[in-house]
Amino acid sequence: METDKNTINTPILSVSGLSISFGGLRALDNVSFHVASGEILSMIGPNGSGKTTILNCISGEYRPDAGAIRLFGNTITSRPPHRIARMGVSRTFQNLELFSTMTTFENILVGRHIHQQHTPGGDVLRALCSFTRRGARNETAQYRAVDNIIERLGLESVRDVEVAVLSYGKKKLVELARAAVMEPRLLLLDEPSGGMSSGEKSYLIERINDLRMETGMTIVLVEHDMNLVMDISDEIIVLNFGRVIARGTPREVQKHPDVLTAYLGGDYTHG
Amino acid sequence: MNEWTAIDIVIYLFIQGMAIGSLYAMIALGLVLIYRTSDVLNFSHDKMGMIFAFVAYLLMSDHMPKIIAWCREVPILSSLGDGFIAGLALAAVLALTFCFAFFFGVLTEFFFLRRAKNPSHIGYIVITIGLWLAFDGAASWIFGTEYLSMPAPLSDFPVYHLGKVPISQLDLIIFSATSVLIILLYVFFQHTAVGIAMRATFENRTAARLMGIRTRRIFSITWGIGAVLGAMAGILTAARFDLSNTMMFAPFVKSFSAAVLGGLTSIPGAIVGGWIMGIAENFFGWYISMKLKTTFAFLVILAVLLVRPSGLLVRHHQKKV
Amino acid sequence: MTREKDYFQEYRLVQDRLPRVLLSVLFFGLAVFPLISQGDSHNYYVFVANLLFINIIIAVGYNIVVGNTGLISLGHSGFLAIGAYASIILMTKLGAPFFVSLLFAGAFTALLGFIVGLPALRLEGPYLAIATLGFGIAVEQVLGLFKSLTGGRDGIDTPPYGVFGHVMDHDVTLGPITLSSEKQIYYVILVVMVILTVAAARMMKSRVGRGFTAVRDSAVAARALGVNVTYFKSLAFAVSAFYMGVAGSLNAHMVNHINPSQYGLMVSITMVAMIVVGGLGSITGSILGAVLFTLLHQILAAQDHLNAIITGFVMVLIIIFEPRGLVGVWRTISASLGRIPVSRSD
Repeated sequence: METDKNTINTPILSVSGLSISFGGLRALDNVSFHVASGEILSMIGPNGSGKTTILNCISGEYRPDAGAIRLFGNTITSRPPHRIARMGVSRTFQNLELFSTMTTFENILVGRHIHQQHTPGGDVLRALCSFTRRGARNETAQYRAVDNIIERLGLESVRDVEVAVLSYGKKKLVELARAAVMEPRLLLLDEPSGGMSSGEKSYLIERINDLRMETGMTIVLVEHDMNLVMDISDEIIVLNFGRVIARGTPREVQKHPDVLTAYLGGDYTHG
Repeated sequence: MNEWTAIDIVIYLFIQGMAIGSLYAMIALGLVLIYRTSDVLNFSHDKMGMIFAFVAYLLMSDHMPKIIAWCREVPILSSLGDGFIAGLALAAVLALTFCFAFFFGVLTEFFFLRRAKNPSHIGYIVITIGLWLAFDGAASWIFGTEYLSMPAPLSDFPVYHLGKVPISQLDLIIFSATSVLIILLYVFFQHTAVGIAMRATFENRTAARLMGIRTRRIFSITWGIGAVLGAMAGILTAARFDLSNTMMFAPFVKSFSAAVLGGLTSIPGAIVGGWIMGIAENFFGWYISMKLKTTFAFLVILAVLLVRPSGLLVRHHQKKV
Repeated sequence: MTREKDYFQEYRLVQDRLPRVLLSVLFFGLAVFPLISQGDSHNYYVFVANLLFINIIIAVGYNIVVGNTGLISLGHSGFLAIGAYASIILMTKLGAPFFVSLLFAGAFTALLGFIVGLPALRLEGPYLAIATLGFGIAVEQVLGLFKSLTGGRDGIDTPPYGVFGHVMDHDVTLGPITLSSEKQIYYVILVVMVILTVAAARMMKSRVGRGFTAVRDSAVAARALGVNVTYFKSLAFAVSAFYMGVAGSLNAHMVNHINPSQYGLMVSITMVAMIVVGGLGSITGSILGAVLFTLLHQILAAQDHLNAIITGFVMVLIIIFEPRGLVGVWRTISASLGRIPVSRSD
């Protein structure tokens, strides 16, 4: 485990030769890319091209068959998800993975899990000794952080509502808040604007930019909404059938013949 | 048994193991069938089998003599001999029991499982446990708690000999019944419309519905057939171990092992698992400890679940997020 | 900036005035209950209360693992047995005092729960149910084997409670009041029950408890937020095993004699009934379930069959009609009456 402290330009995240198959299906084929600190990288591509699979490999949910993932200079390829989370990585999910029996506040509060003081096993005892105001400080400090992010993302009106009854757009925001309150260095967003109206999407873009501006966090984004992607990204990679077929700034990617072929069919490689 | 060589003992344990294993296999079959298609682990399967065995007992002791007497009156039948008549009477009793079992299963599914609005895994398990308890109480109340022997012809089985090794006719019956069942089930699932529909419902419930399969009816039929399998297992268990409320409990636990061993969703797995359980248990009991047989079954379950959770005959799929 | 809020108020277990007053009245009532009458029939009620309090401990502990963490365990009777035998053996063979044995029973069972949990909790749903079912049965069988240590199938005699040298097997007269041994035991069990119930409530409303619930609602998300799901599952097992160990010990020393068959499948099933009918994941639910089934069992003590049938059917009906249990029924009623909803913290 080496840490590279020398260059400022060391990528926060670097993926090399990532490959994984499910049954007979090759979901990722030799995928390589890196993300610089503070950058927003978007991954686009047709459905099934492997975008969510890449996120799952980075977050540790899947173990790739081949390749390596390096995060903050350390190799994390086979680490369990909770360890990777503790390094400062958090994420949202394409199909929402909220804690359905909890309120908005409680859901986001779980996001403070790694920041709260704890001792293995002794966590139970710690909870039992915290009946006084002083003893409760560990907990109440987290409450404050949660309310901060709730205010930032405009969720005050649903603070104590069970998330199960919220609108889809609001649920997405709650998941974003939960991931953000962890104060991650790397944030993985899987289709954060899925199911949102255009008004909600603009709001979302502003909030994501705000977060990035304040904390300098790096963001990897999977998206289908092209306008959103072109608007917000510093760099884009395009995937198709588990392979990276293009990489570059939004403008470069827009004109790339392979990208046009993948999305629109036909053959654009000969102009 | 004193003049037996080591080989004799091994053969004996093996054959006995196959026999008792077939019983476990039959119990496991009903369990696996229901789990496969409706995704419910029927914890009350042993109590249901026990109830059906009692029903068969009552039919046999109270009504079989009447049937036999009636048959003797009819000239066509009496000319075929007493043995034939006894067999016919037994067949009638069994048929009635199986019909009862089938409807019992269907009604259980209809009244208790279908009504539940979207239960979780825990919900289904609690329902079947509740049924276990209710059936247990009802059976104790109605049938009493003594031990009964099954009446003739399900008693006093002759014992054959393979060299020095004794084999009871009952063991042969159990073994052949299970083997016949395998073949019947294979044909059923591969070549009948209902069987194929059941497989489809298991693979993908929504798609099956979209294809026009009445999944509700499939669930009813599944529970009905499962109950009948339970009845068969119950009657054979009663013939072997004597009828009582708790007779099916120990075999039931072992059939769980068998089902898990073979793979909870695999029908041939249930049978293979049953045989392996029976043989392994016999060897364990002889060479290590008789008293710890049920604990042994549990250890088998644990070992299988840790090493190869899907069981021997089922391929393991990685879950996609 | 966020307006200044008293977060401590939000953190407390009982936030509103009315519940706090009601609870104080309840505690007072429980404290003076044994003193109301000296008669024999009242002694019997105290005895039932003792059983009830122990059942509450069991239900609350069991609900932590099944209700809050979502892990199906059908063999928790095994932990009851282990707690019972552990404390008896410590007292009889090693001469340890009662409270030490009680704590040891809890700790030992918790450790065992953690160890058993680690491999078993990789399993899901029906597989976990089967594995734990087997565990409970195996414990019952194994305990019947070591005659020298556990008295084998016939069981073992149990020494009575003892506090600060005072053994609770005879009446004690304090001025005008005579306390039978049941009544003395009552106070011990009451204190333990209150401590453990409050502890459970506090746990649920803290990092640990949220971790449990997160594991139940979405293990994937929990992992992604840094929760070590495997560890938390084992921890839930260990904590609930502690409760079982203490309850097992309290129960064992209350009766004269125990044997392994008292810790069989029926006990596990009753546990399931208590928390499912009462309300999964809710401490109030655990208490309600314990009350219901303790009383039911006492009323139908003579008719085992009826007890089984009713318990079984109640379990089935609750899942079908109100899966959230009696607590759910209460919430539905109070919501439709337009009342202010009961505080979500149980």
